[in-house]
Amino acid sequence: MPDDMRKKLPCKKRRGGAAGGCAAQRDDVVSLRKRIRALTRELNALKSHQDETIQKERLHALGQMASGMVHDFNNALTPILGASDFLVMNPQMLDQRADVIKLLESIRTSAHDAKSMVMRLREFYRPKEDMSPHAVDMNSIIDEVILLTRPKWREEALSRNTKIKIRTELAGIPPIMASDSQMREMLMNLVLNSCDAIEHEGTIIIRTMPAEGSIVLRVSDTGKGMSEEVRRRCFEPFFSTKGRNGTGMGLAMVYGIIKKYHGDIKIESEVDKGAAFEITIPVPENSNGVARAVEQANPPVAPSRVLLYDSDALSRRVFAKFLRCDGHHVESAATMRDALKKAGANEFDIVMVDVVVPDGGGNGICLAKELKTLLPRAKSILLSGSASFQKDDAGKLEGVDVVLAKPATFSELREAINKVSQKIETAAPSTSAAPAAQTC
Amino acid sequence: MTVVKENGGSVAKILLVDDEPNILLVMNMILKCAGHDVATADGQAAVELLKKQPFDLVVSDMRMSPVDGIEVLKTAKKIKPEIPVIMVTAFEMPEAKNTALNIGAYAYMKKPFDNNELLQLIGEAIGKSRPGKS
Repeated sequence: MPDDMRKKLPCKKRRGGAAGGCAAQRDDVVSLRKRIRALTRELNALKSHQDETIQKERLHALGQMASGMVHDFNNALTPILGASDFLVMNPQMLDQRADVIKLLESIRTSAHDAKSMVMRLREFYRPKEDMSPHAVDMNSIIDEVILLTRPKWREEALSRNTKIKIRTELAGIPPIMASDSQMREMLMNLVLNSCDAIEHEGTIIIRTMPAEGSIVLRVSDTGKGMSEEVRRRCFEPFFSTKGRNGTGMGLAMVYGIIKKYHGDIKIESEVDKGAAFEITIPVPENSNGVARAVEQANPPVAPSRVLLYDSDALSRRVFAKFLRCDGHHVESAATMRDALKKAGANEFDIVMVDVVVPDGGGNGICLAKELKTLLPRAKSILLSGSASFQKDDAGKLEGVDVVLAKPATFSELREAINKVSQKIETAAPSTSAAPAAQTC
Repeated sequence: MTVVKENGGSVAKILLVDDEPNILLVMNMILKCAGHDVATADGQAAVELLKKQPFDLVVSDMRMSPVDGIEVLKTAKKIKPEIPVIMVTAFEMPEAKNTALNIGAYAYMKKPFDNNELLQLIGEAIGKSRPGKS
Protein backbone atom coordinates (compact mmCIF):
# COMPACT_ATOMS: atom_id res chain seq x y z
CA MET A 1 0.00 0.00 0.00
CA PRO A 2 1.51 3.41 -0.94
CA ASP A 3 2.67 5.57 1.98
CA ASP A 4 0.32 8.46 1.13
CA MET A 5 -2.69 6.18 1.38
CA ARG A 6 -1.43 4.68 4.58
CA LYS A 7 -1.27 8.14 6.10
CA LYS A 8 -4.94 8.68 5.32
CA LEU A 9 -6.00 5.73 7.43
CA PRO A 10 -8.14 6.77 10.39
CA CYS A 11 -5.94 7.08 13.39
CA LYS A 12 -7.56 5.92 16.61
CA LYS A 13 -5.26 8.25 18.57
CA ARG A 14 -7.23 11.40 17.40
CA ARG A 15 -10.35 10.11 19.00
CA GLY A 16 -8.45 9.14 22.06
CA GLY A 17 -8.16 5.44 21.00
CA ALA A 18 -5.18 3.13 21.72
CA ALA A 19 -1.88 4.87 21.04
CA GLY A 20 -0.54 2.00 19.02
CA GLY A 21 -3.59 1.76 16.71
CA CYS A 22 -1.96 3.28 13.63
CA ALA A 23 1.30 1.54 14.34
CA ALA A 24 -0.53 -1.79 14.50
CA GLN A 25 -2.15 -1.15 11.14
CA ARG A 26 1.19 -0.17 9.67
CA ASP A 27 2.68 -3.39 10.97
CA ASP A 28 -0.18 -5.33 9.38
CA VAL A 29 0.49 -3.71 6.03
CA VAL A 30 4.20 -4.37 6.24
CA SER A 31 3.56 -7.95 7.20
CA LEU A 32 1.08 -8.32 4.34
CA ARG A 33 3.60 -6.93 1.88
CA LYS A 34 6.20 -9.40 3.05
CA ARG A 35 3.79 -12.25 2.64
CA ILE A 36 2.82 -11.13 -0.86
CA ARG A 37 6.48 -10.93 -1.83
CA ALA A 38 7.16 -14.35 -0.39
CA LEU A 39 4.14 -15.84 -2.17
CA THR A 40 5.18 -14.26 -5.48
CA ARG A 41 8.63 -15.78 -5.07
CA GLU A 42 7.07 -19.16 -4.34
CA LEU A 43 4.79 -18.89 -7.35
CA ASN A 44 7.68 -18.05 -9.68
CA ALA A 45 9.70 -20.91 -8.28
CA LEU A 46 6.75 -23.27 -8.79
CA LYS A 47 6.28 -22.13 -12.40
CA SER A 48 9.94 -22.62 -13.11
CA HIS A 49 9.83 -26.05 -11.48
CA GLN A 50 6.74 -26.91 -13.49
CA ASP A 51 8.52 -26.04 -16.76
CA GLU A 52 11.51 -28.13 -15.73
CA THR A 53 9.32 -31.05 -14.77
CA ILE A 54 7.41 -30.92 -18.04
CA GLN A 55 10.69 -30.89 -19.94
CA LYS A 56 11.98 -33.80 -17.84
CA GLU A 57 8.85 -35.76 -18.66
CA ARG A 58 9.39 -35.10 -22.36
CA LEU A 59 12.99 -36.21 -22.15
CA HIS A 60 11.95 -39.25 -20.13
CA ALA A 61 9.49 -40.23 -22.84
CA LEU A 62 12.18 -39.75 -25.47
CA GLY A 63 14.64 -41.76 -23.43
CA GLN A 64 12.20 -44.65 -23.30
CA MET A 65 12.38 -44.86 -27.05
CA ALA A 66 16.10 -44.33 -27.43
CA SER A 67 17.10 -47.88 -28.30
CA GLY A 68 14.27 -48.15 -30.76
CA MET A 69 15.31 -44.91 -32.44
CA VAL A 70 18.90 -46.09 -32.80
CA HIS A 71 17.54 -49.26 -34.36
CA ASP A 72 15.37 -47.33 -36.82
CA PHE A 73 18.18 -44.99 -37.84
CA ASN A 74 20.60 -47.84 -38.41
CA ASN A 75 17.98 -49.58 -40.51
CA ALA A 76 17.55 -46.42 -42.59
CA LEU A 77 21.32 -46.07 -43.03
CA THR A 78 21.84 -49.65 -44.20
CA PRO A 79 20.31 -49.34 -47.69
CA ILE A 80 21.72 -45.81 -48.11
CA LEU A 81 25.30 -46.87 -47.40
CA GLY A 82 24.91 -50.31 -48.92
CA ALA A 83 23.51 -49.09 -52.23
CA SER A 84 25.80 -46.09 -52.64
CA ASP A 85 28.88 -48.13 -51.70
CA PHE A 86 27.82 -50.84 -54.13
CA LEU A 87 27.47 -48.42 -57.04
CA VAL A 88 30.73 -46.64 -56.31
CA MET A 89 32.63 -49.94 -56.11
CA ASN A 90 30.88 -51.40 -59.17
CA PRO A 91 30.70 -48.62 -61.76
CA GLN A 92 29.89 -51.17 -64.46
CA MET A 93 26.48 -51.49 -62.80
CA LEU A 94 25.64 -47.96 -63.89
CA ASP A 95 24.92 -49.36 -67.36
CA GLN A 96 22.05 -51.34 -65.90
CA ARG A 97 19.57 -48.52 -65.69
CA ALA A 98 16.64 -50.41 -64.19
CA ASP A 99 18.75 -51.77 -61.32
CA VAL A 100 20.33 -48.38 -60.70
CA ILE A 101 16.92 -46.75 -60.49
CA LYS A 102 15.78 -49.37 -57.97
CA LEU A 103 18.85 -48.74 -55.83
CA LEU A 104 18.38 -44.97 -56.03
CA GLU A 105 14.74 -45.36 -55.03
CA SER A 106 15.73 -47.42 -52.02
CA ILE A 107 18.26 -44.73 -51.04
CA ARG A 108 15.59 -42.07 -51.42
CA THR A 109 12.96 -43.97 -49.42
CA SER A 110 15.39 -44.67 -46.61
CA ALA A 111 16.55 -41.06 -46.53
CA HIS A 112 12.93 -39.92 -46.33
CA ASP A 113 12.32 -42.35 -43.47
CA ALA A 114 15.29 -40.90 -41.61
CA LYS A 115 14.09 -37.38 -42.35
CA SER A 116 10.64 -38.20 -40.99
CA MET A 117 12.21 -39.52 -37.80
CA VAL A 118 14.12 -36.29 -37.37
CA MET A 119 11.03 -34.19 -38.08
CA ARG A 120 9.01 -36.11 -35.50
CA LEU A 121 11.76 -35.76 -32.91
CA ARG A 122 12.03 -32.08 -33.68
CA GLU A 123 8.31 -31.53 -33.24
CA PHE A 124 8.37 -33.38 -30.01
CA TYR A 125 11.22 -31.63 -28.23
CA ARG A 126 10.78 -28.10 -29.56
CA PRO A 127 10.79 -26.21 -26.23
CA LYS A 128 8.77 -23.11 -26.87
CA GLU A 129 6.33 -22.83 -29.68
CA ASP A 130 3.13 -21.21 -30.66
CA MET A 131 0.49 -23.19 -28.72
CA SER A 132 -2.41 -21.20 -30.04
CA PRO A 133 -5.27 -23.46 -31.02
CA HIS A 134 -5.95 -24.21 -34.64
CA ALA A 135 -7.89 -26.84 -36.57
CA VAL A 136 -6.46 -30.26 -35.72
CA ASP A 137 -7.46 -33.57 -37.25
CA MET A 138 -7.10 -36.12 -34.46
CA ASN A 139 -7.04 -39.06 -36.88
CA SER A 140 -3.87 -37.64 -38.48
CA ILE A 141 -2.37 -37.06 -35.05
CA ILE A 142 -3.07 -40.71 -34.21
CA ASP A 143 -1.24 -41.89 -37.36
CA GLU A 144 1.74 -39.68 -36.47
CA VAL A 145 1.85 -40.88 -32.87
CA ILE A 146 1.75 -44.52 -33.91
CA LEU A 147 4.82 -43.90 -36.07
CA LEU A 148 6.51 -41.79 -33.42
CA THR A 149 6.03 -44.42 -30.72
CA ARG A 150 6.95 -47.35 -32.94
CA PRO A 151 10.40 -47.60 -31.36
CA LYS A 152 8.64 -48.33 -28.08
CA TRP A 153 5.78 -50.65 -29.00
CA ARG A 154 7.64 -52.54 -31.67
CA GLU A 155 11.41 -52.46 -31.27
CA GLU A 156 11.91 -52.04 -27.57
CA ALA A 157 9.08 -54.41 -26.74
CA LEU A 158 10.80 -57.08 -28.86
CA SER A 159 13.97 -56.58 -26.88
CA ARG A 160 12.12 -57.57 -23.70
CA ASN A 161 10.35 -60.48 -25.44
CA THR A 162 7.03 -58.69 -25.45
CA LYS A 163 4.78 -58.59 -28.48
CA ILE A 164 2.56 -55.57 -28.79
CA LYS A 165 0.04 -55.03 -31.54
CA ILE A 166 -1.50 -51.66 -32.16
CA ARG A 167 -4.81 -51.25 -33.92
CA THR A 168 -6.92 -48.27 -34.89
CA GLU A 169 -10.62 -47.89 -35.51
CA LEU A 170 -10.98 -44.34 -36.74
CA ALA A 171 -14.31 -42.84 -37.68
CA GLY A 172 -14.79 -39.66 -39.66
CA ILE A 173 -14.57 -36.88 -37.09
CA PRO A 174 -14.56 -33.10 -37.39
CA PRO A 175 -11.42 -31.16 -36.53
CA ILE A 176 -11.03 -29.76 -33.03
CA MET A 177 -9.43 -26.46 -32.08
CA ALA A 178 -6.22 -27.32 -30.23
CA SER A 179 -2.46 -27.28 -30.43
CA ASP A 180 -1.37 -30.25 -32.53
CA SER A 181 1.83 -30.72 -30.56
CA GLN A 182 -0.10 -30.87 -27.28
CA MET A 183 -2.53 -33.41 -28.75
CA ARG A 184 0.44 -35.42 -29.95
CA GLU A 185 2.08 -35.25 -26.55
CA MET A 186 -1.12 -36.29 -24.79
CA LEU A 187 -1.70 -39.26 -27.05
CA MET A 188 1.92 -40.29 -26.90
CA ASN A 189 1.81 -40.44 -23.11
CA LEU A 190 -1.25 -42.69 -23.24
CA VAL A 191 0.33 -45.04 -25.79
CA LEU A 192 3.62 -45.25 -23.87
CA ASN A 193 1.72 -46.01 -20.65
CA SER A 194 -0.16 -48.79 -22.43
CA CYS A 195 3.14 -50.24 -23.70
CA ASP A 196 4.49 -50.30 -20.16
CA ALA A 197 1.34 -51.99 -18.90
CA ILE A 198 1.62 -54.89 -21.34
CA GLU A 199 3.67 -57.89 -20.26
CA HIS A 200 4.47 -60.74 -22.70
CA GLU A 201 1.76 -60.02 -25.25
CA GLY A 202 -1.03 -57.53 -25.74
CA THR A 203 -2.93 -55.10 -27.93
CA ILE A 204 -3.44 -51.37 -27.89
CA ILE A 205 -6.57 -50.11 -29.63
CA ILE A 206 -7.12 -46.47 -30.53
CA ARG A 207 -10.63 -45.45 -31.54
CA THR A 208 -12.23 -42.19 -32.56
CA MET A 209 -15.93 -41.47 -32.79
CA PRO A 210 -18.02 -38.38 -33.43
CA ALA A 211 -20.43 -37.33 -30.70
CA GLU A 212 -22.89 -34.52 -30.13
CA GLY A 213 -20.81 -31.34 -30.15
CA SER A 214 -17.57 -33.22 -29.57
CA ILE A 215 -15.24 -36.02 -30.59
CA VAL A 216 -14.42 -39.08 -28.53
CA LEU A 217 -10.95 -40.60 -28.43
CA ARG A 218 -10.53 -43.95 -26.69
CA VAL A 219 -7.17 -45.57 -25.98
CA SER A 220 -7.44 -49.04 -24.51
CA ASP A 221 -5.00 -51.86 -23.83
CA THR A 222 -5.00 -55.46 -22.68
CA GLY A 223 -2.30 -54.83 -20.09
CA LYS A 224 -2.15 -55.43 -16.36
CA GLY A 225 -4.84 -52.87 -15.52
CA MET A 226 -5.13 -50.66 -12.45
CA SER A 227 -6.38 -51.08 -8.93
CA GLU A 228 -9.01 -48.69 -7.69
CA GLU A 229 -6.48 -46.65 -5.78
CA VAL A 230 -4.23 -46.28 -8.81
CA ARG A 231 -7.21 -45.35 -10.97
CA ARG A 232 -8.22 -42.71 -8.46
CA ARG A 233 -4.76 -41.20 -8.11
CA CYS A 234 -3.20 -41.68 -11.53
CA PHE A 235 -3.75 -38.06 -12.60
CA GLU A 236 -2.04 -36.71 -9.52
CA PRO A 237 1.30 -35.05 -10.29
CA PHE A 238 4.28 -37.14 -9.14
CA PHE A 239 2.14 -40.23 -8.54
CA SER A 240 3.78 -43.19 -10.26
CA THR A 241 3.63 -46.98 -10.16
CA LYS A 242 6.92 -47.31 -12.00
CA GLY A 243 9.28 -46.52 -9.15
CA ARG A 244 12.45 -44.82 -10.32
CA ASN A 245 11.51 -45.37 -13.94
CA GLY A 246 8.56 -43.01 -13.79
CA THR A 247 8.38 -39.24 -13.31
CA GLY A 248 4.73 -39.38 -12.27
CA MET A 249 3.93 -36.52 -14.61
CA GLY A 250 2.73 -38.28 -17.77
CA LEU A 251 -0.96 -38.66 -16.92
CA ALA A 252 -0.97 -35.40 -15.00
CA MET A 253 0.07 -33.72 -18.24
CA VAL A 254 -2.60 -35.62 -20.17
CA TYR A 255 -5.21 -34.38 -17.72
CA GLY A 256 -3.94 -30.82 -17.88
CA ILE A 257 -4.00 -30.75 -21.68
CA ILE A 258 -7.53 -32.14 -21.87
CA LYS A 259 -8.83 -29.64 -19.32
CA LYS A 260 -7.14 -26.82 -21.20
CA TYR A 261 -9.39 -27.59 -24.17
CA HIS A 262 -12.48 -28.01 -21.99
CA GLY A 263 -12.49 -31.75 -22.49
CA ASP A 264 -13.14 -34.65 -20.18
CA ILE A 265 -11.39 -37.95 -19.44
CA LYS A 266 -12.73 -41.17 -17.95
CA ILE A 267 -10.88 -44.36 -17.03
CA GLU A 268 -12.17 -47.90 -17.06
CA SER A 269 -9.83 -50.44 -15.58
CA GLU A 270 -9.47 -53.38 -13.25
CA VAL A 271 -6.42 -55.35 -12.23
CA ASP A 272 -5.43 -57.84 -14.97
CA LYS A 273 -8.25 -56.60 -17.18
CA GLY A 274 -6.54 -53.87 -19.13
CA ALA A 275 -7.37 -50.18 -19.15
CA ALA A 276 -9.29 -47.76 -21.31
CA PHE A 277 -8.96 -43.98 -21.32
CA GLU A 278 -11.93 -42.25 -22.92
CA ILE A 279 -11.42 -38.61 -23.81
CA THR A 280 -14.09 -36.21 -25.01
CA ILE A 281 -13.09 -32.92 -26.59
CA PRO A 282 -15.60 -30.33 -27.78
CA VAL A 283 -15.56 -29.24 -31.39
CA PRO A 284 -16.12 -25.61 -32.42
CA GLU A 285 -19.62 -24.79 -33.64
CA ASN A 286 -18.48 -24.01 -37.15
CA SER A 287 -16.34 -27.14 -37.46
CA ASN A 288 -17.89 -28.02 -40.81
CA GLY A 289 -16.51 -24.82 -42.19
CA VAL A 290 -13.03 -25.35 -40.83
CA ALA A 291 -10.98 -26.20 -43.83
CA ARG A 292 -8.57 -29.09 -43.69
CA ALA A 293 -5.18 -28.53 -45.25
CA VAL A 294 -5.16 -29.94 -48.73
CA GLU A 295 -1.90 -31.14 -50.23
CA GLN A 296 -1.41 -29.29 -53.43
CA ALA A 297 0.90 -30.09 -56.24
CA ASN A 298 3.54 -27.43 -56.61
CA PRO A 299 4.03 -26.70 -60.27
CA PRO A 300 7.15 -24.67 -61.00
CA VAL A 301 6.71 -20.90 -61.33
CA ALA A 302 8.20 -18.60 -63.95
CA PRO A 303 12.01 -18.53 -63.82
CA SER A 304 13.53 -16.17 -61.30
CA ARG A 305 17.00 -14.87 -60.58
CA VAL A 306 18.17 -16.52 -57.38
CA LEU A 307 21.13 -15.74 -55.17
CA LEU A 308 21.95 -18.81 -53.11
CA TYR A 309 24.19 -18.62 -50.05
CA ASP A 310 25.17 -21.81 -48.22
CA SER A 311 28.57 -22.54 -46.71
CA ASP A 312 28.02 -26.27 -47.23
CA ALA A 313 29.20 -27.19 -50.73
CA LEU A 314 27.01 -30.27 -51.15
CA SER A 315 23.90 -28.46 -49.99
CA ARG A 316 24.69 -25.59 -52.34
CA ARG A 317 25.15 -27.99 -55.26
CA VAL A 318 21.91 -29.82 -54.61
CA PHE A 319 19.79 -26.70 -54.22
CA ALA A 320 21.37 -25.07 -57.28
CA LYS A 321 20.63 -28.18 -59.33
CA PHE A 322 17.02 -28.28 -58.16
CA LEU A 323 16.54 -24.63 -59.00
CA ARG A 324 18.16 -24.88 -62.42
CA CYS A 325 15.95 -27.87 -63.25
CA ASP A 326 12.98 -25.52 -62.86
CA GLY A 327 14.56 -22.96 -65.11
CA HIS A 328 15.76 -20.48 -62.49
CA HIS A 329 19.00 -18.60 -62.97
CA VAL A 330 21.19 -19.30 -59.97
CA GLU A 331 24.27 -17.58 -58.61
CA SER A 332 25.84 -19.42 -55.71
CA ALA A 333 27.95 -17.97 -52.93
CA ALA A 334 30.03 -19.95 -50.48
CA THR A 335 30.96 -17.05 -48.24
CA MET A 336 29.15 -14.05 -46.83
CA ARG A 337 31.52 -11.69 -48.61
CA ASP A 338 30.84 -13.37 -51.94
CA ALA A 339 27.08 -13.19 -51.36
CA LEU A 340 27.23 -9.48 -50.58
CA LYS A 341 29.49 -8.83 -53.57
CA LYS A 342 27.11 -10.56 -55.94
CA ALA A 343 24.11 -8.81 -54.43
CA GLY A 344 25.81 -5.48 -55.00
CA ALA A 345 26.64 -6.25 -58.61
CA ASN A 346 23.46 -7.96 -59.89
CA GLU A 347 19.71 -7.87 -59.62
CA PHE A 348 18.00 -10.86 -57.97
CA ASP A 349 14.36 -11.77 -57.37
CA ILE A 350 15.00 -14.26 -54.59
CA VAL A 351 17.79 -14.73 -52.08
CA MET A 352 18.21 -18.08 -50.33
CA VAL A 353 20.33 -17.87 -47.22
CA ASP A 354 21.42 -20.64 -44.93
CA VAL A 355 21.12 -19.79 -41.24
CA VAL A 356 24.70 -20.92 -40.56
CA VAL A 357 27.30 -18.31 -41.54
CA PRO A 358 30.70 -19.56 -40.34
CA ASP A 359 32.58 -16.55 -41.71
CA GLY A 360 31.29 -13.26 -40.47
CA GLY A 361 30.39 -13.84 -36.84
CA GLY A 362 26.66 -13.41 -37.42
CA ASN A 363 23.98 -15.70 -38.76
CA GLY A 364 21.81 -16.09 -41.82
CA ILE A 365 19.18 -13.69 -40.52
CA CYS A 366 21.72 -10.87 -40.27
CA LEU A 367 22.96 -11.70 -43.75
CA ALA A 368 19.39 -11.79 -45.08
CA LYS A 369 18.81 -8.31 -43.64
CA GLU A 370 21.99 -6.97 -45.22
CA LEU A 371 21.07 -8.48 -48.57
CA LYS A 372 17.65 -6.82 -48.30
CA THR A 373 19.26 -3.42 -48.10
CA LEU A 374 21.16 -4.18 -51.30
CA LEU A 375 18.19 -5.88 -52.98
CA PRO A 376 15.10 -4.18 -51.58
CA ARG A 377 12.70 -5.85 -54.02
CA ALA A 378 14.01 -9.40 -53.56
CA LYS A 379 12.23 -11.89 -51.32
CA SER A 380 14.22 -14.11 -49.03
CA ILE A 381 14.13 -17.74 -48.00
CA LEU A 382 15.97 -18.81 -44.84
CA LEU A 383 17.38 -22.34 -44.99
CA SER A 384 17.46 -23.95 -41.57
CA GLY A 385 18.77 -27.36 -40.57
CA SER A 386 17.98 -26.96 -36.88
CA ALA A 387 14.82 -26.82 -34.81
CA SER A 388 15.55 -23.20 -33.95
CA PHE A 389 13.57 -21.91 -36.89
CA GLN A 390 10.41 -23.34 -38.31
CA LYS A 391 8.00 -22.35 -41.07
CA ASP A 392 5.84 -20.31 -38.69
CA ASP A 393 8.80 -18.12 -37.74
CA ALA A 394 9.01 -16.44 -41.14
CA GLY A 395 6.70 -13.59 -40.18
CA LYS A 396 8.65 -12.92 -36.98
CA LEU A 397 12.13 -12.68 -38.53
CA GLU A 398 13.11 -9.39 -40.08
CA GLY A 399 14.27 -9.76 -43.64
CA VAL A 400 12.91 -13.33 -43.96
CA ASP A 401 9.82 -14.15 -46.02
CA VAL A 402 9.84 -17.94 -45.85
CA VAL A 403 11.69 -20.50 -43.71
CA LEU A 404 12.61 -23.75 -45.43
CA ALA A 405 13.69 -26.66 -43.25
CA LYS A 406 16.63 -28.79 -44.37
CA PRO A 407 16.78 -31.43 -45.65
CA ALA A 408 14.23 -30.24 -48.20
CA THR A 409 12.73 -32.22 -51.04
CA PHE A 410 12.37 -30.85 -54.55
CA SER A 411 8.66 -30.37 -53.86
CA GLU A 412 9.27 -28.46 -50.61
CA LEU A 413 11.77 -26.19 -52.34
CA ARG A 414 9.24 -25.50 -55.06
CA GLU A 415 6.60 -24.71 -52.44
CA ALA A 416 8.94 -22.17 -50.83
CA ILE A 417 9.77 -20.60 -54.22
CA ASN A 418 6.06 -20.46 -55.07
CA LYS A 419 5.29 -18.68 -51.81
CA VAL A 420 7.90 -15.97 -52.29
CA SER A 421 7.12 -15.65 -56.00
CA GLN A 422 3.58 -14.68 -55.10
CA LYS A 423 5.04 -11.82 -53.09
CA ILE A 424 7.47 -10.64 -55.73
CA GLU A 425 6.51 -7.29 -57.25
CA THR A 426 7.12 -6.89 -60.93
CA ALA A 427 10.77 -5.96 -61.24
CA ALA A 428 11.95 -3.24 -63.59
CA PRO A 429 13.20 -4.79 -66.81
CA SER A 430 16.94 -5.44 -66.56
CA THR A 431 19.33 -4.39 -69.28
CA SER A 432 20.75 -7.89 -69.67
CA ALA A 433 18.51 -10.91 -70.19
CA ALA A 434 18.85 -13.87 -67.84
CA PRO A 435 20.73 -16.76 -69.42
CA ALA A 436 18.72 -19.57 -70.96
CA ALA A 437 17.50 -22.26 -68.57
CA GLN A 438 20.15 -24.88 -67.94
CA THR A 439 19.31 -28.52 -68.40
CA CYS A 440 19.66 -30.97 -65.49
CA MET B 1 34.03 -56.07 -54.87
CA THR B 2 35.03 -59.44 -56.27
CA VAL B 3 32.79 -61.82 -58.14
CA VAL B 4 32.93 -65.05 -56.23
CA LYS B 5 33.18 -67.46 -59.18
CA GLU B 6 35.98 -65.57 -60.88
CA ASN B 7 38.13 -65.90 -57.79
CA GLY B 8 37.52 -69.59 -57.30
CA GLY B 9 35.17 -68.97 -54.43
CA SER B 10 32.02 -70.93 -53.72
CA VAL B 11 28.73 -69.78 -55.08
CA ALA B 12 26.01 -70.33 -52.54
CA LYS B 13 22.25 -70.43 -52.34
CA ILE B 14 21.54 -67.78 -49.75
CA LEU B 15 18.35 -66.86 -47.91
CA LEU B 16 18.17 -63.20 -46.90
CA VAL B 17 15.70 -62.46 -44.11
CA ASP B 18 14.57 -58.96 -43.08
CA ASP B 19 11.27 -57.13 -42.74
CA GLU B 20 12.61 -53.95 -44.37
CA PRO B 21 12.10 -54.21 -48.15
CA ASN B 22 14.78 -51.62 -48.97
CA ILE B 23 17.39 -53.57 -47.07
CA LEU B 24 16.41 -56.79 -48.83
CA LEU B 25 16.55 -55.11 -52.23
CA VAL B 26 20.04 -53.71 -51.72
CA MET B 27 21.50 -56.85 -50.10
CA ASN B 28 19.93 -58.97 -52.84
CA MET B 29 21.66 -56.94 -55.53
CA ILE B 30 25.00 -56.98 -53.73
CA LEU B 31 24.96 -60.75 -53.30
CA LYS B 32 23.68 -61.47 -56.80
CA CYS B 33 26.35 -59.23 -58.29
CA ALA B 34 28.87 -61.31 -56.36
CA GLY B 35 27.49 -64.40 -58.09
CA HIS B 36 25.33 -65.96 -55.40
CA ASP B 37 21.85 -67.38 -55.86
CA VAL B 38 19.60 -65.35 -53.56
CA ALA B 39 16.10 -65.63 -52.12
CA THR B 40 14.56 -62.96 -49.87
CA ALA B 41 11.80 -63.14 -47.28
CA ASP B 42 10.52 -61.66 -44.04
CA GLY B 43 10.65 -63.75 -40.86
CA GLN B 44 7.37 -65.57 -41.33
CA ALA B 45 7.95 -66.39 -45.01
CA ALA B 46 11.54 -67.44 -44.28
CA VAL B 47 10.47 -70.12 -41.82
CA GLU B 48 8.17 -71.58 -44.52
CA LEU B 49 10.81 -71.32 -47.23
CA LEU B 50 13.43 -73.10 -45.13
CA LYS B 51 11.12 -76.11 -44.90
CA LYS B 52 10.62 -76.22 -48.67
CA GLN B 53 14.01 -75.42 -50.19
CA PRO B 54 17.61 -76.23 -49.33
CA PHE B 55 19.88 -73.28 -48.61
CA ASP B 56 23.63 -73.09 -48.09
CA LEU B 57 23.54 -70.05 -45.82
CA VAL B 58 21.08 -67.70 -44.12
CA VAL B 59 21.55 -64.00 -43.34
CA SER B 60 18.84 -62.87 -40.95
CA ASP B 61 17.84 -59.70 -39.15
CA MET B 62 17.34 -60.14 -35.41
CA ARG B 63 14.41 -57.87 -34.65
CA MET B 64 11.38 -58.79 -36.71
CA SER B 65 7.80 -59.42 -35.88
CA PRO B 66 5.86 -61.67 -35.58
CA VAL B 67 8.64 -64.14 -36.36
CA ASP B 68 12.02 -62.89 -35.16
CA GLY B 69 15.58 -63.78 -36.10
CA ILE B 70 16.01 -66.23 -33.22
CA GLU B 71 13.08 -68.26 -34.50
CA VAL B 72 14.52 -68.22 -38.02
CA LEU B 73 17.88 -69.35 -36.61
CA LYS B 74 16.30 -72.19 -34.62
CA THR B 75 14.26 -73.35 -37.65
CA ALA B 76 17.29 -73.29 -39.95
CA LYS B 77 19.42 -75.25 -37.48
CA LYS B 78 16.68 -77.80 -36.88
CA ILE B 79 16.36 -78.51 -40.61
CA LYS B 80 20.09 -78.46 -41.37
CA PRO B 81 22.33 -78.26 -38.27
CA GLU B 82 25.50 -77.42 -40.23
CA ILE B 83 23.98 -74.46 -42.08
CA PRO B 84 25.80 -71.18 -41.29
CA VAL B 85 23.43 -68.44 -40.13
CA ILE B 86 24.70 -64.87 -39.95
CA MET B 87 22.62 -62.64 -37.69
CA VAL B 88 22.46 -58.90 -38.39
CA THR B 89 21.07 -56.24 -36.11
CA ALA B 90 20.46 -52.50 -36.15
CA PHE B 91 20.78 -52.32 -32.35
CA GLU B 92 23.15 -54.62 -30.55
CA MET B 93 21.92 -56.14 -27.33
CA PRO B 94 24.50 -58.35 -25.58
CA GLU B 95 21.87 -60.79 -24.28
CA ALA B 96 20.33 -61.30 -27.70
CA LYS B 97 23.81 -61.71 -29.21
CA ASN B 98 24.75 -64.36 -26.66
CA THR B 99 21.45 -66.18 -27.20
CA ALA B 100 22.03 -66.26 -30.95
CA LEU B 101 25.61 -67.45 -30.64
CA ASN B 102 24.63 -70.11 -28.10
CA ILE B 103 21.97 -71.46 -30.44
CA GLY B 104 24.64 -71.74 -33.11
CA ALA B 105 24.70 -68.53 -35.15
CA TYR B 106 27.88 -68.33 -37.24
CA ALA B 107 28.37 -64.62 -36.70
CA TYR B 108 26.65 -61.48 -35.49
CA MET B 109 27.01 -58.28 -37.51
CA LYS B 110 25.83 -54.75 -36.82
CA LYS B 111 23.97 -52.58 -39.33
CA PRO B 112 24.94 -50.63 -41.31
CA PHE B 113 27.64 -53.08 -42.37
CA ASP B 114 30.43 -52.85 -44.89
CA ASN B 115 29.48 -54.73 -48.08
CA ASN B 116 32.92 -56.28 -48.50
CA GLU B 117 33.03 -57.45 -44.91
CA LEU B 118 29.67 -59.17 -45.35
CA LEU B 119 30.81 -60.86 -48.56
CA GLN B 120 34.04 -62.00 -46.94
CA LEU B 121 32.18 -63.40 -43.98
CA ILE B 122 29.80 -65.25 -46.31
CA GLY B 123 32.73 -66.64 -48.30
CA GLU B 124 34.44 -67.80 -45.12
CA ALA B 125 31.27 -69.39 -43.76
CA ILE B 126 30.58 -71.27 -47.01
CA GLY B 127 34.17 -72.41 -47.19
CA LYS B 128 34.05 -73.84 -43.68
CA SER B 129 30.71 -75.55 -44.22
CA ARG B 130 32.03 -77.27 -47.35
CA PRO B 131 35.46 -78.60 -46.37
CA GLY B 132 37.56 -79.76 -49.30
CA LYS B 133 35.30 -78.12 -51.90
CA SER B 134 36.25 -74.91 -53.78
